[in-house]
Amino acid sequence: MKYFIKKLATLIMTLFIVSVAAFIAFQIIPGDVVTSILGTEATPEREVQLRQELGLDQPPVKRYFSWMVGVLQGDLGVSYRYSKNMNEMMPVAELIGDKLPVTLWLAAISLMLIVAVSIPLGVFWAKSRSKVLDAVLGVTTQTAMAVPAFFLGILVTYLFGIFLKWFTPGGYVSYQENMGGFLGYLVFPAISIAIPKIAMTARFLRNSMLTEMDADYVRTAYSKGCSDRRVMYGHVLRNAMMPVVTFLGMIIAEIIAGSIVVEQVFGLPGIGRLLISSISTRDFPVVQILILYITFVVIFVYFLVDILYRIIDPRISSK
Amino acid sequence: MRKKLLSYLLMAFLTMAALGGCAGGTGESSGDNSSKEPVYGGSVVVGIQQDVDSLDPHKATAAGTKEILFNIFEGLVKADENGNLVKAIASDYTISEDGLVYTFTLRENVKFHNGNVVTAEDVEYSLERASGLLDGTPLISSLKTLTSVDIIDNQTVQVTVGSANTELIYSFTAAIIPKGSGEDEQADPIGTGPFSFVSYTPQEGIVIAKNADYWQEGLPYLDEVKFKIVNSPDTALMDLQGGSIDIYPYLTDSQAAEVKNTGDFQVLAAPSDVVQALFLNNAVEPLNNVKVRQAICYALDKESINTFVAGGNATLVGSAMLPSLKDYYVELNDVYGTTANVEKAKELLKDAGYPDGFDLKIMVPSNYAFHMQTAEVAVEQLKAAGINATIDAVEWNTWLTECYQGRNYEATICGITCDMTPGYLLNRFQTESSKNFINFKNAEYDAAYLKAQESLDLKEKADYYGQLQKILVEDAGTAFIQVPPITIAMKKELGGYKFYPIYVQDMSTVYYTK
Repeated sequence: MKYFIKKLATLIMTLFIVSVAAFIAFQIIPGDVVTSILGTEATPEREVQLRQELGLDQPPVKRYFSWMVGVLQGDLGVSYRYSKNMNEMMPVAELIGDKLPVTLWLAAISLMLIVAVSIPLGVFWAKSRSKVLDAVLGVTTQTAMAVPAFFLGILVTYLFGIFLKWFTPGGYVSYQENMGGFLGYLVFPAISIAIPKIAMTARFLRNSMLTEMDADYVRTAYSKGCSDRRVMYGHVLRNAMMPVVTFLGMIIAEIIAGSIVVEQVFGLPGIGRLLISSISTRDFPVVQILILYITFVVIFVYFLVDILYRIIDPRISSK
Repeated sequence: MRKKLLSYLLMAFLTMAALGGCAGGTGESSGDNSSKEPVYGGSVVVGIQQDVDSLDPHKATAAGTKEILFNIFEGLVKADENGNLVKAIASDYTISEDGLVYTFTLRENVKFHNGNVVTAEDVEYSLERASGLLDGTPLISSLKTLTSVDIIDNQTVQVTVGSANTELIYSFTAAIIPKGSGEDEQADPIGTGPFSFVSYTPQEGIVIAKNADYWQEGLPYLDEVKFKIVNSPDTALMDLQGGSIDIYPYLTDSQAAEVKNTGDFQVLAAPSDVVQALFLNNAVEPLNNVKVRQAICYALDKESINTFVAGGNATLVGSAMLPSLKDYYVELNDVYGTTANVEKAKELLKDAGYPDGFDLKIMVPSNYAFHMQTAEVAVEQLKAAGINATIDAVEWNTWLTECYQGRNYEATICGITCDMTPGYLLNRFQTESSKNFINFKNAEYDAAYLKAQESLDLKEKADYYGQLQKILVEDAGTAFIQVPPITIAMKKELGGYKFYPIYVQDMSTVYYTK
């Protein structure tokens, strides 16, 4: 119980620090939403008027606290840039709520691909005694890890979109319109996200398993007559999974927080793209909530990893 | 290390691809469909580069928004593809001899998208709203000069202005919206244009549909147009090839070459309405010395800039006027020449007291690939003349704040647009203008500009504008470079695309061919 309270306190502190840091960053970078909206057509009168309309004429500290109070009461504020209807600004919650499913589905598909491919691959690689295979897999995974995400996205688009014509590049379908088409389109960005992560996870698992195979308990297991299979899956893999779970946790947090580059390449209107465009238009309420969201996801996933640890290895909770 | 090496290899590969593109690009139109028979109906997807800033036609300021709203809204007058004004909601207008009273006769039976007929009250409301007569804040600053809008009868509206200006008529392109609808325009834009608004999704795009009641017989052809925000200029090309967009209006030179090779698209090019220049801050050392500024003008090799970044399709200019505004343009390319004159530049620098050159930081908005590429070429040319130029790539908002408004920079490469009125290109160089971000200061210029403003005779006005251009160039206020081309890719089966001397995407004349 104490453990949970401690974790919760850390979470709240971190969120607070991050939100202050983001707020200060926005005060320092040149330009604000008014310069962004008015552009080169800005006149002093329009600037003053717009600042008033948006409440930007208030002192920064006051703005921060009124925003904070709103958030604590569950009011995430309204976007400076996007409006909804009847001259009413778009609530941030709604704006992000619309984009979140895109990123979450993308994360889910990518994660399924990563787990489904990397774990068998890692086990297979660890078991193989072939030098040739070792070299081939070593080079392949190294390459997959080294290709920049943007370029990989373009390669995937060229191969599956333009060459094989399995999907229409840029032909994103909204999940509100057609769920099947939506998921079908997401497979390809998910592949782009998954490839380097599969390579990393497989390498990681293989190394981890090789280390475990040298452990004393493996010899003991063999000597008491366990089958190869039983040793591998019952003992080695279970122990080797420990660091891999941490690693997967990091990957999950990274993907859910928004695959900025991949969303950009495939034209997915997800969280990452919203973050980029909100920063460049200085849409502070949106950026602030997105940053809090990302912070929360990262901390929360680490917390889940912690719990998972206790399940895989009961020794930890007794410590 | 390995990662780095790979990215170098990739970079080399991409550079090669880009250079290959340059060499091949001539940008001429290939496959002209204008002779084929147009058919009605169909839908197209147009790739756009940025999200819209506002759907309220009086509040929208971004060029990327106005180019779309052109299809939804119309003013009393509107621009045509030759840069002339044609009558739109007004069927006729007269301007009093002293230039102070404008009388507009409304066209009969022009309907808003909500089915209502446009009345004199709607016009009065729209002009009062845009000019600030309604609530004291002018939304369109050029209309600030309006002192009253009066309804004469059902079909006639009279506008009185505080001071005469022959270019004011261009401002009556301001959208006419239904009376009292100002607050709703943002969510439910209603205009009189060839297309009506259907939907807008942030970050995804805008959908517009045919206005069946449009007052111009036979237009538009298409049933529906989707403006889709493309992810990045780099992926726009794949979207085109993959078929998710049909028209993409912002091809770079290397992209144009690549698209042409696929054979599925027509590539069309025309001059834009942008004058690109290496703008110099006249108020900072050593650029406050006219000789230094002249040296920079001599050091630039505009011809090779054109070849490198525009595939030779740009129009070189010597001053701040578009060659397409024929009545006002003065050819001034000879003053500093279109190729580099390094000897002359070095000599001027020596005279100015900088025999060893100086450091020059060029601030460039990095979201404009064209300006960035131009800067990369210009930097090398300046170095040849002994000026140690470096590029400071900044994000657009930083550029607006630091450079355009704060004037806290040495030099920048960007473009200025004309917005149809030639005066718009020149008024920013008056000493006191709020848009004079280069801090140009020349009493002779200010005096000539005032005279041009006052002049009601177009011939005389053109003479003054000519003088202004000469002063600007002789005083080397800034190093003007070129008018970049607009290059578009359009599916083979489409036709009727019109280039405008202003930044709009007129979809009303676009059609599918049989």
